[in-house]
Amino acid sequence: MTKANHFRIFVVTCLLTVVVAGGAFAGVVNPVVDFGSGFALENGRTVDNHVSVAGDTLMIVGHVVAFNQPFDDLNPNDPAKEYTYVYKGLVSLGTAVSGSGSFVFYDTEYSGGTLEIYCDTAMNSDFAVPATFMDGDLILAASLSGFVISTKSFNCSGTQNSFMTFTGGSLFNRVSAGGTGFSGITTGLFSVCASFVDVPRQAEGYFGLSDSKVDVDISVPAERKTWGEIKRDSRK
Amino acid sequence: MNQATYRGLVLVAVVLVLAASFAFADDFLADFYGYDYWSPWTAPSGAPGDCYNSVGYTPAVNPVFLTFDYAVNEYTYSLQSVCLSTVDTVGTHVILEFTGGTLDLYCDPLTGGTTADFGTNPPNAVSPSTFEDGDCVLGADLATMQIVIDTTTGNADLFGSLDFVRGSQLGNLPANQRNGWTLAGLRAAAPGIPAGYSWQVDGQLFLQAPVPVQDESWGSIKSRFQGGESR
Repeated sequence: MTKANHFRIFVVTCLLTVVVAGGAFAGVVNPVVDFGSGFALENGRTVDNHVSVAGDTLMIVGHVVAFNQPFDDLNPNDPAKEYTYVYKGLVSLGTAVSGSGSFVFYDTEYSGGTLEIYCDTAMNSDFAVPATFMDGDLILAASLSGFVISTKSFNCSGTQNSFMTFTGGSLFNRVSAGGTGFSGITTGLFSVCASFVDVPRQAEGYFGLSDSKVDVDISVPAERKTWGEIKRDSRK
Repeated sequence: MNQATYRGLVLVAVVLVLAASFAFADDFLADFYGYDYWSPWTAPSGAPGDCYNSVGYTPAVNPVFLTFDYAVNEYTYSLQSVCLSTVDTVGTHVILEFTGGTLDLYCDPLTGGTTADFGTNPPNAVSPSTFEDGDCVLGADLATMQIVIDTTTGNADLFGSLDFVRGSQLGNLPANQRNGWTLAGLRAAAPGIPAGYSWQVDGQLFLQAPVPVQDESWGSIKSRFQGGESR
């Protein structure tokens, strides 16, 4: 390898470091969004039922309770707006049951799915009408993958986890670079116990309690540039 | 069986029937998120006597029980000194049982207070101290706590029972609802976990629902027990 090539690699390394340090990730504080109590619907499934039928579709709706950078200018307690979220289009792949006796574990994987966050000045959200959580300005949209809910027989706690990639919304520019959405995870608590799903929600057909949040992966910022652009930038 | 004992048994039976006839759920109290850490910790995989701790924020509460003003205050939580007692393995899951510990919610002014800071490698100069300053709004002693780890994913969940016994807003909680539950999802493979912390934590607190009661005369209770009334 020539000295010139060594120098070029050095320059590229330095520039990529600058891109990383100066990118939007410098302003990310996880969780970027925290969701409050959400409730889950799935084809008539009822509380205390740990088993999902393959092919059934999961939806979770609720309210945002906290925003951090790059959304810390949004106030989830704004009296003139409501911020709502919906996980939808998650198709059950069935529930894997393991363990036995007093210790039974239930893991349900879902395919597909999207996460959407809305800002609505109508402030009309009503759990009896899930569509009211999907109106107003769509501020963020993300595709989901690897969505899994895990619960168990011997206590009421459980988990909800998924990978995600931002795909759109009016604030997409805050979580994307060069048109490519950042990736991350949604993660949190899930319970199917009747004692943790409000009675009115049960009457409306909800079977589970969800409490999750969005963490953006801050380790993979990237920006495409031609070799000419990099050389030009280095001379500025 | 004497008459007093008989009447006692009838009353117990009636109360159980009434409780079973009402649907009820525990009351949401607060939402929290943050990170956890172990101190002390026995390398490499822990041992009984090691203690679990967690600090973070309380971004939402049930206004029926707690009065929080997010425009002027920062609200935090600190879960401390929940110590490991037993470890059991069931297939690919590890079940950790704990004893002791406290959970407190704090209110600290945004102006003039100290901004909460996780720092690194807790306990440190700023954590848990910056999550424990200001007014203790509500505090609980833990009665039980269990963490279940899925070793295939590294994900885990937390489930505990607690008794609320202190805090400036303890009086807002009805006397018959001062015990409850905490539930949380835990994840190790999450972006942005500060160095030295173990899992990210996202969970909620609940107050145990009061047992529903219904006023009835002794005559109507006797009548129902003797088949004089059907529902």
